[in-house]
Amino acid sequence: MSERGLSPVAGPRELLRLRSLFGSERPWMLAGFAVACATLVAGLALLGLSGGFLAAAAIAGLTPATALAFNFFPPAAGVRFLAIARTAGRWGERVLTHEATLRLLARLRSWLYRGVAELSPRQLGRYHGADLLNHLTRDIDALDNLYLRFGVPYLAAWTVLSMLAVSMAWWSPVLSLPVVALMMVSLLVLPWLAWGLGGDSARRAVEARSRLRRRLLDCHDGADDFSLHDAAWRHQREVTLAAHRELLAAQRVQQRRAAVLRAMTGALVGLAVWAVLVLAAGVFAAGALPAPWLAALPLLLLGTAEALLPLSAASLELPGTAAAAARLRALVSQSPATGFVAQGPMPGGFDLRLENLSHGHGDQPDLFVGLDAALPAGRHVALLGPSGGGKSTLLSLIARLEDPRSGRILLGARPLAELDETTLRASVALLAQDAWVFSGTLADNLRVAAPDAEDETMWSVLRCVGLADTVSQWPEGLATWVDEGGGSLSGGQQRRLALARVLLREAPVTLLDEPAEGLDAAAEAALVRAVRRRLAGRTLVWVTHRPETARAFEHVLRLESGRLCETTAHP
Amino acid sequence: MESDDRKSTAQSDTALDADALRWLGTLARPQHGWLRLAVLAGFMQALATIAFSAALAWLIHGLAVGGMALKDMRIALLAVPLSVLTRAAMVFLREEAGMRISHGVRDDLRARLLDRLHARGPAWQARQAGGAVVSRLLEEVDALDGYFARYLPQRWLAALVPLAIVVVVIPLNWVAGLILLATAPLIPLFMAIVGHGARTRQQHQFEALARMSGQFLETLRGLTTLRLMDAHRRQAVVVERSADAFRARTMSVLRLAFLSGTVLEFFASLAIALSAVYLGFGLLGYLEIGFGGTLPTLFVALFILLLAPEFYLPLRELGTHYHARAEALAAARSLSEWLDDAEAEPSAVSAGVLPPRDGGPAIRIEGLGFAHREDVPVFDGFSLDIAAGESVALTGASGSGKTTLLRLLLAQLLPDHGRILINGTPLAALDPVVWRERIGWMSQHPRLMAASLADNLRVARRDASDDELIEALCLAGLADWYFGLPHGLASRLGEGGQLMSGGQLRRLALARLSLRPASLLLLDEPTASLDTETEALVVSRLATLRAGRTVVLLTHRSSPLKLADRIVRFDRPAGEAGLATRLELSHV
Repeated sequence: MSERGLSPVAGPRELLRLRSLFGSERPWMLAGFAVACATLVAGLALLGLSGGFLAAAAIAGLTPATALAFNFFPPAAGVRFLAIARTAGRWGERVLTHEATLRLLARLRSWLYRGVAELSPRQLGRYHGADLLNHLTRDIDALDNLYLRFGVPYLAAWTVLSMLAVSMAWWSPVLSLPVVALMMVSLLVLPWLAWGLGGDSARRAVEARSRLRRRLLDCHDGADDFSLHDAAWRHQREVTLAAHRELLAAQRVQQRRAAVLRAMTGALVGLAVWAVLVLAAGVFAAGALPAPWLAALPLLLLGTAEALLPLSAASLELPGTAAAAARLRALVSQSPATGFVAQGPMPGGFDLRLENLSHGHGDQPDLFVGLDAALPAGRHVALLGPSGGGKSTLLSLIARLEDPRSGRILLGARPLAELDETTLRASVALLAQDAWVFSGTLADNLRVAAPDAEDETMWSVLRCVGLADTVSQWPEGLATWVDEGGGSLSGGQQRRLALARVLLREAPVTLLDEPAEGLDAAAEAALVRAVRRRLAGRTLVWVTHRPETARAFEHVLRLESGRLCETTAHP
Repeated sequence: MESDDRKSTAQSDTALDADALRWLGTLARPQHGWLRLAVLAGFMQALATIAFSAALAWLIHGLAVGGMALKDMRIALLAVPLSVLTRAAMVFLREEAGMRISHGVRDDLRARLLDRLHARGPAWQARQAGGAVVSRLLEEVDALDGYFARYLPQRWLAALVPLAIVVVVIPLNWVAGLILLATAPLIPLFMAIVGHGARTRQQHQFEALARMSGQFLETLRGLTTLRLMDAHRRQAVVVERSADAFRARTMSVLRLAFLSGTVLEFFASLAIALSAVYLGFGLLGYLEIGFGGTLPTLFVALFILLLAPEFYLPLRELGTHYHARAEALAAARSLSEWLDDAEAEPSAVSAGVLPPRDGGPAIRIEGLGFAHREDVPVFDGFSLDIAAGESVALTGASGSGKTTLLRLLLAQLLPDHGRILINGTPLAALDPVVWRERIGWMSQHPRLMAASLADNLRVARRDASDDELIEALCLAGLADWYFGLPHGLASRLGEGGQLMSGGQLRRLALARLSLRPASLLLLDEPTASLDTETEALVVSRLATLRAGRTVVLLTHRSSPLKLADRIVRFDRPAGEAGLATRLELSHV
């Protein structure tokens, strides 16, 4: 977990790497950006034109003659147009940038999914503690907002300020100096500072948070001990509250930095306006600047605050976003531990043979060493053994979710590694212990196994696993909605559904890892009979911890202390 | 159950919101000083903006039509940077004060929640998922931040600042003031519009995000399942298609919802445009109305022009903080419920005396009945006599209520009927805190805390000396392990520290137990999942510890039965969960 917590170095370049993801969404992103710029320009121009119009009118109004000659239609119409353009632009900007963001969101997920789908479960970290997947979602969420919260405002600010610098320089180069200075400081120096500060303070806040999380978890898990000894609880409470105050302090630092950046950005704009006015006074006195423009230029600059202020908070989040991007890229760029050939031969048959198989997890010692076994096609066996003895591991090797440390597995005389994934999956179906029930209808869940399955086929597997009666009583039948993780089904129903799904695969070799978990002995016995009838002529491995279930099989394999013993009972 | 919750939430949404808001209000009360400061700073920020606008307008007026040079307008020239810096200081002060409100509230609240957690007792906690408890104390408390730090002060400013601007504008030009003022009574309406718009928008935006994240997470969780079905490549298309569908649906709502947010934008733009045109005509001499007989000056016109957008700014900011409000309301609902819930553990109510502490107590259980859920009794009319200093082993199938019996003895659960007598005194009449201090409990799953070895041992006895700790470790057979530790008693254990095997952990629990100054030992499967060697060590050590103490031992293994004077079998007919416990006594 620790290596995922905080990625050590993730430079700004990490964010630029994301560009390759944009792909076909680029037009939307550009459109959103263009409208954002146009809206900003309209906002600035509204204020600038109004100021200029007032100044021009004031001068013309000095004498009745000039007042009468003053053509107020163009500026008045311009002001009205800009007011409407700005309003409409703001709406269009929001619609377009959100459209682009949601499109990016889809891209990001599909990029990540495609990268992760080929990894082995172990690489995905399924078996390595904590909530890796929650970390993952948090990382994706961090990237989701990058375009909307930082990308568009930052680039729009550059564009508009550059345009402003040019229009100032039109009257006199010296006038563009404050704008250029504002650009440099607020778009380069402050984000750079924020990058340094943000990375450091964000890291401290993350650390404080995880410390507090651990303490709180101890408060919960140690409740038994603490209820027996008040002094120990008082100590634990003290320690927990200390971690809590540490987190508050870290957050305080972060929020103060955001406040300082915000205050500084506002002050910079104000001072730039002042500087432009002072410089413009000189140019005006020299006769090189008309009076309306004297009024318009400071007001134009004043409007840029709207573009710059949101950047201060967003730029503090950038280091965290870059770290998230780095973590995701590291995950996606792994090469799959069990690489499959693209196009392999068909297995010659479905006899399974384990040759000198040794395997164990991570850096732990071998679970079994030099395992040899043969399983002729069509045989039904029960696999028994103590928990943790490696039964599930053995099945995942046969399904090639991982590769053994040494030795090999042959299917129809072909090593598994020679088969392509589609062929292997079509030949070997595995019901894992943690088979997932997806949110969707029952039919959706079944069609994961066979996309084109007819209703009748689905009913027949449901009958086999003993779910048909229950489901036919539900008003919506196969269209009944099932919650994520199978929440709305009982444990036994979930298990049966998962089993039905595996049976739908119609594979020549079916491996069932404790399919009857959560069922009582009588129910398991009934299930064994039904499944065996359905799979007659095809290979079946049934993992169980009930000796009485094993007695329903002629062949029993026992995996104990790293050895596989076969017993063949009654003829 | 969850869908029921959702339905009732939908029905009385407003009522719940009102409750949650009231609760948030009581939380904020002690922080009123900071709230006032935040509002004051925000208001000063607005005044600084007004001063800035005035100075800027005056300078432009002086240069363009007043025929003055900068040096003739020293005060205004200085006022610009001064007001800019004041405003920056006020921005900082306002954020700082807002942060103090939020931090004050959260500091206090988390401590209260922690005490509440403890008061609920372990029997209640055992039924909660650790992750859910932690996320309540961590994430939900932090979700209140934006509401207190920004939304609360901004609500005041959204009313005060526009008022101040109108007060400044009216004496200068009553028509311009009227343009603004005419919209002022609309402010509550605007607030509602902004609120409503922001709510729909954010609800949908966040819902879409949350749903998409949820669905994606689910796909990742089920990835192995998909893979085993050779469906993982097919699923890539599904991921994309569903994201697209979400986008289309969300955008159709957002397009409308953005309109209501644009209303304020429109008014702000309109106010600028209207005042510019009106003031321009006034300057040209076409309109004299509103200027109090005198011709308007460029100063007045520019000043009003600059203030017009500021009039709407606080309202627009309020809209951007609306999400913080929604987030806080959701958290407030669940947190207030948690704090108010009357279901405390029994200890909170009773307080009493204890019989003399020396020697193991005699325990008498009379006609005990208890059910976690109605109609599913764990015990019904269960009786048992344990003599002082006797050691009784309870055996029986798992799930037959053995651990529940220990919780009843600990007074963490109250019996539904029947009673427990300690040396003849009803347990209900004893002070539970003092009673529990006299009990040593070895749980089925000893827990390692993310703390030092010393802290992990002092859970049993806070005032134990270092020597006593080391002695306890040695007696528990951990001497070799301990002397191999790099930092001795200060070594960190648990996550991120020294890892322990299951057997070592059990021996650590044994060391904890031997530190307890207990007269009653409750041993819950003390040798579960231990190898024979470690089991022998634990049993022999427990045999020493039992001298002079009453012992209740739960086990399904045979070796610890050596410790028992008497074995009591708990049995239930197989498969008929919920039937009353049948009891067989067998004397050894």
